[in-house]
Amino acid sequence: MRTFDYHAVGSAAEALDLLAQYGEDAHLMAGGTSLMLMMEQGLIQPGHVVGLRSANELRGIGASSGGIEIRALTTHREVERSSHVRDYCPTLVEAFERIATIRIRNQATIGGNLVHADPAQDPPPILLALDAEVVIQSKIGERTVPLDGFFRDYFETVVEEGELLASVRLPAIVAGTKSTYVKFLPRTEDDYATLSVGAALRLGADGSCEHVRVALGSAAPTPIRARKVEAALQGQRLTGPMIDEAAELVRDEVDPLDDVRGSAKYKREMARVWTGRALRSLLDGGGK
Amino acid sequence: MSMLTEDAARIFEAPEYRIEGPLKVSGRARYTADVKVPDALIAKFLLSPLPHAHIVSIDTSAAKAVPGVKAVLTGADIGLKLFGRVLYDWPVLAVDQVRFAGERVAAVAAETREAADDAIKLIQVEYEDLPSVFDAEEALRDGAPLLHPDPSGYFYGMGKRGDRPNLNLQGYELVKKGEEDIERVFASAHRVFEDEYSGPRQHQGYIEPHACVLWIDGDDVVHVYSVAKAPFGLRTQLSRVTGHPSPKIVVDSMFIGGDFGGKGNVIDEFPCYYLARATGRPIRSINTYAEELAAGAPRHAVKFYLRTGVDRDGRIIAHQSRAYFNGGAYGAAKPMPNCLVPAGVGPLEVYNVPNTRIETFVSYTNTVPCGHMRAPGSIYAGHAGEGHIDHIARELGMDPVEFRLLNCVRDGDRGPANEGFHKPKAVEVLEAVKRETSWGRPLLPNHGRGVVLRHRHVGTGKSEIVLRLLKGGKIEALYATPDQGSGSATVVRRVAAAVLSVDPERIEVRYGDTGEARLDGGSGASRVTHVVGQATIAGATSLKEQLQDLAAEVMGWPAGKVRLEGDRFVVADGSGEGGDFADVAGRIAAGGEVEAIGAYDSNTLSHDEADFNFYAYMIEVEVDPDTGRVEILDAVQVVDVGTIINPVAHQGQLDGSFVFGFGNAMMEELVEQDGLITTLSLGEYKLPTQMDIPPLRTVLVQDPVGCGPFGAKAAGEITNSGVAAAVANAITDAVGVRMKTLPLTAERVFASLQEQKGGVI
Amino acid sequence: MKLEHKATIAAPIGQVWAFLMDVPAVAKCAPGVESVEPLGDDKYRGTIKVSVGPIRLAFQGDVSIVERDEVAHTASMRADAADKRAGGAVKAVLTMSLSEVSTDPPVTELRMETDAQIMGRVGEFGQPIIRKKADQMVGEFGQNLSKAIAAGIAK
Ligand SMILES: Cc1cc2nc3c(=O)[nH]c(=O)nc-3n(C[C@H](O)[C@H](O)[C@H](O)COP(=O)(O)OP(=O)(O)OC[C@H]3O[C@@H](n4cnc5c(N)ncnc54)[C@H](O)[C@@H]3O)c2cc1C
Repeated sequence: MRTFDYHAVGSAAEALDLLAQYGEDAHLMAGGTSLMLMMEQGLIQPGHVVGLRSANELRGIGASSGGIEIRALTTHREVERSSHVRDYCPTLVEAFERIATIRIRNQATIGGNLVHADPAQDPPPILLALDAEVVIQSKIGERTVPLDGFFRDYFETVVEEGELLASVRLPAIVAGTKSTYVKFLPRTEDDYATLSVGAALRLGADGSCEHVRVALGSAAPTPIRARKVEAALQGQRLTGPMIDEAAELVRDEVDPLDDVRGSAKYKREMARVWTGRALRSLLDGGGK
Repeated sequence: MSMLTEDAARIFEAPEYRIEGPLKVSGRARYTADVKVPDALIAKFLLSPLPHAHIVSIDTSAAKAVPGVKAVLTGADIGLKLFGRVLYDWPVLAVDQVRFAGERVAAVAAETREAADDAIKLIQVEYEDLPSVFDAEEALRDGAPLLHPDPSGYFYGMGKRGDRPNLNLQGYELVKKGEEDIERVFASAHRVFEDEYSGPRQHQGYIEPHACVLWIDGDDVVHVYSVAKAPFGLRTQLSRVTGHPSPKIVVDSMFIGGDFGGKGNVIDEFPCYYLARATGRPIRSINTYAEELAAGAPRHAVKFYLRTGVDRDGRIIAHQSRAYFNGGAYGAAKPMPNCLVPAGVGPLEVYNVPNTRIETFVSYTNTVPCGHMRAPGSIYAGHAGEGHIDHIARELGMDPVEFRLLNCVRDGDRGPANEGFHKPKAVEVLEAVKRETSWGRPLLPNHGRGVVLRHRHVGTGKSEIVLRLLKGGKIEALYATPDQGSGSATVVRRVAAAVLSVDPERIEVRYGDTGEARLDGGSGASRVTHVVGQATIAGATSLKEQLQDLAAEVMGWPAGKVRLEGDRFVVADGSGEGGDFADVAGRIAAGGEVEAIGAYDSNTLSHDEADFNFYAYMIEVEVDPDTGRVEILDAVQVVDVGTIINPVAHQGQLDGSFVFGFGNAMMEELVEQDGLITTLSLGEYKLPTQMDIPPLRTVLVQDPVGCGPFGAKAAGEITNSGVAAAVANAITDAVGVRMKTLPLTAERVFASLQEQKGGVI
Repeated sequence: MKLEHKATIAAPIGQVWAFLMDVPAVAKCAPGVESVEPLGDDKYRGTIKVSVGPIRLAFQGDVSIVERDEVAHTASMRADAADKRAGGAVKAVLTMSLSEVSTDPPVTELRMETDAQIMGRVGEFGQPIIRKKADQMVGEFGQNLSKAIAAGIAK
């Protein structure tokens, strides 16, 4: 690893100043779980590392217009143990519990996770299914962007040089909406997903589909929404076979990577299987 | 000695956590990477990026100019120096040619890791590609590139190297039994079955990477802190490679952070010696995990071709096997004669087969040199052989357990390579499967059960140990068997206490380096309890005799009448006289330390047949037909064991074996593409974690007839080799597909199910 | 790693062939190529920048035409490049072959077969992503080529 200067900052503003000063040569560090691995491998070699750990304003979980706001520096473990989050949506807790090991969850942050933008991570699919937005801060001000559209490519997001991710906002959940997160781990429990699905569903009084979200991890260069599947179900009176048929459509929406967790071919089939299973479980009254 | 004395029974019964446990859990155990030597330089190596190339030129000038860099060495500086365990064919640093991606081309010693890393990047090497071969069978075809066209200069440490039909073979073996023309037997068979099985390279998965700290003192003594599990073996190798006299090399491998076979072969010590020579400074080398995974010495990839004929009653009458092991670019990492992998003969090793023809091929290829891993080769032989047996039983419409009972070896039978068995327990473990497991009971849909019958030999070798009464009355047991986590120190203490008939607490087991302790064969091949245990018996017996005589002398008791029993010296003349061990031993020791040397060589065994632990598995799985995911619902290992010296450690080895075998069966695979290993972290190469382990039950079939101390057998590498076959057989039972390639990933099962349906994905 | 790509170019085979033999022009079609200088003997030196998220790599190296067959319209190029900062290297052989799809309108099919090896430190980092990235890059290269040839014809 190259030697670097470490700057511990106490606020977002301080961090943004340093980013402005050092430009490309500076990298933000939250929990450091991903950044340090890349630095260790020599893949990124910043001269300056801006440590956010003491920027307390970037930490914590609170209410926000009927929903909740999770600030960027909140660790996975904090999300998992928060009663706020549990009250808001127990599925979110379940999804965060599936990340890596407790050691990693105690260190890694939600902001670091989203900006790192590895398509195999767990938070993005469930956050997409819950219509999350992220708040991005720069010296000029703040912008809010939907998470759907935040991810650009492998390890690439819309966060530009000189910006930082400040928080994740989740809107109020309409009563009757059920959600679920499935992480398919055929090798070991301690792994990135071979495929994961976050889904949300609300049925009207007549049994028709009022609201549906399907998002997948490990299925493409970025976490994705399965819009064709959603469109096929929206407004329909759902049945199991109809869900299976809609799930077939996910095959055309994914573009998975061939890797040790499965070939692209296999992941495409698993996208179909798990999309179907996730939605069927919601239809059958499962989910939270 | 196989009868359990009263003392032994009492001592062995009590479960005991290992002696060195507290040192380890409190971080005080000193591993090689913890050794701090003043002024040490950091060593780093430039690895070949190519699988096979001619080295046109190397320019180290820019690397040498990096501040803090003290030496940059290449093959041109040190010459062609070849190392190995039996066959010395692996260059310390490449000369003119590299034969695998990961081979060491240059070595740097620098004040800091950063300087060493920078220097490595600045070494300019011009390569010219040579044609490569990556597959074990392709390497043997006409026209395949020859990796070692002229092996005449390679030192071979076991006499004359065996005949090799092809220069691209590291080793070859043909074993036959019975009828010379086996085709005639096959022709007479009622039915003949053929199967092909394969397994990938797998990494031992120890957590401590290879490391060494080496320096040369003012008296020209080379000191090495190493992770080598056979320190005396390393001393010999280092001496042979460097020409440095072996009495002036001291190797210390006290604690090893995981081994599983991977610490039998070490590679850092050789270049570090030259770096120490070149700089006059101590050298520290700690590999990265990427280096471990790319260029350690993993388990071989293998392909088995099996053919077996049975008669009308289902008795096996002929068996033919060809095993192709992918040896990689060098045979150096293997300790067996002719670089063979010992399990080449193993697929049907527990069966009584009258006619066999078994061939083992170990090829040279342009891939990472392979070595040993827990029960070397046996997992693949097990997966192949027991899958094949299961296949035959099912085709014949016979119950797989009954088919095995019909064909397994019994007392007096000889195995496929004509080997004998000392009191084999195949029948007993199969009977226990029928009695103690759910075998044969009804099953839910997509559930299935598999059984396996296998064995593992108890290791052999030579070792010596020193037992010494110290001033103050403690007894020291000094030996050079490194501790790689198996708990041998506790075994030594218990055995010594049992023989001496003293409280185990009186005995202090101490590890000594090669300068201090006596010859030891190293901790591997399931030999330590047997060999070191028997050496301990010899040493303790001799010490006991001396102490009894000396007690008579110092106490004025009648000569020849003193017995050491129950932690006391007693005079066996009816007088009732005697004294506490501590008092009497203290008086003896006041006159000087008393020393006894215990030596053992397993060639002195009283029986001709080798000793084996037989074992069986019964595993029940559920298969998810939509995803191919396999879940183990119930696993029972039935193990034939001898005397148990420490119940905790013994069960720990059996449980650990299962877990190890579970990883090998279900997930472990070093992926190779065009000769390059691509799974370069433990995030990609996955080992099982606690969360993955299914319920496991152990059933012991116990008989104290082993060759170890008090009738002990082995424990460390028995049941790991059976998990894969048992799970694969259970999958067949559940959903009908036969899994012939390891690991048994969900994707493979899924693909087989698709194929079975006639669909293509 | 082996990659295969196809591109259809609306130009006569001869013109496409002529363009392909102009290495600096062809190289400029590869995404991220910064400079190409001739070294003589069909050899060129250049730099290509590749980024995956925060990882920025700059490969410097040589490209040479190792085979060309005007009649069969096949050529292969070899590239050897290294990134000094991260410590990684790429070796690639790119074989291009042209076939005439139709003469009127003129349509030529370009087939590219790439055999590449990514080595060293860079190679330790997710090979699958590297493969995908390389696949994207060669795909884009093919598209850029057809555009550049079409533009050349338009001029
Ligand atoms: C062994 C291991 C196993 C893992 N397993 C899983 C798993 O199963 N599932 C899963 O989802 N994830 C997994 N992860 C990934 C883990 O969740 C991420 O590494 C983590 O969330 C990153 O957060 P961090 O705070 O450590 O980020 P850092 O490593 O500090 O930063 C990551 C990146 O984000 C940038 N960054 C950080 N914070 C901000 C900010 N506020 N604004 C702008 N940029 C920022 C940094 O500059 C850097 O580029 C695993 C990681 C490891 C090491």
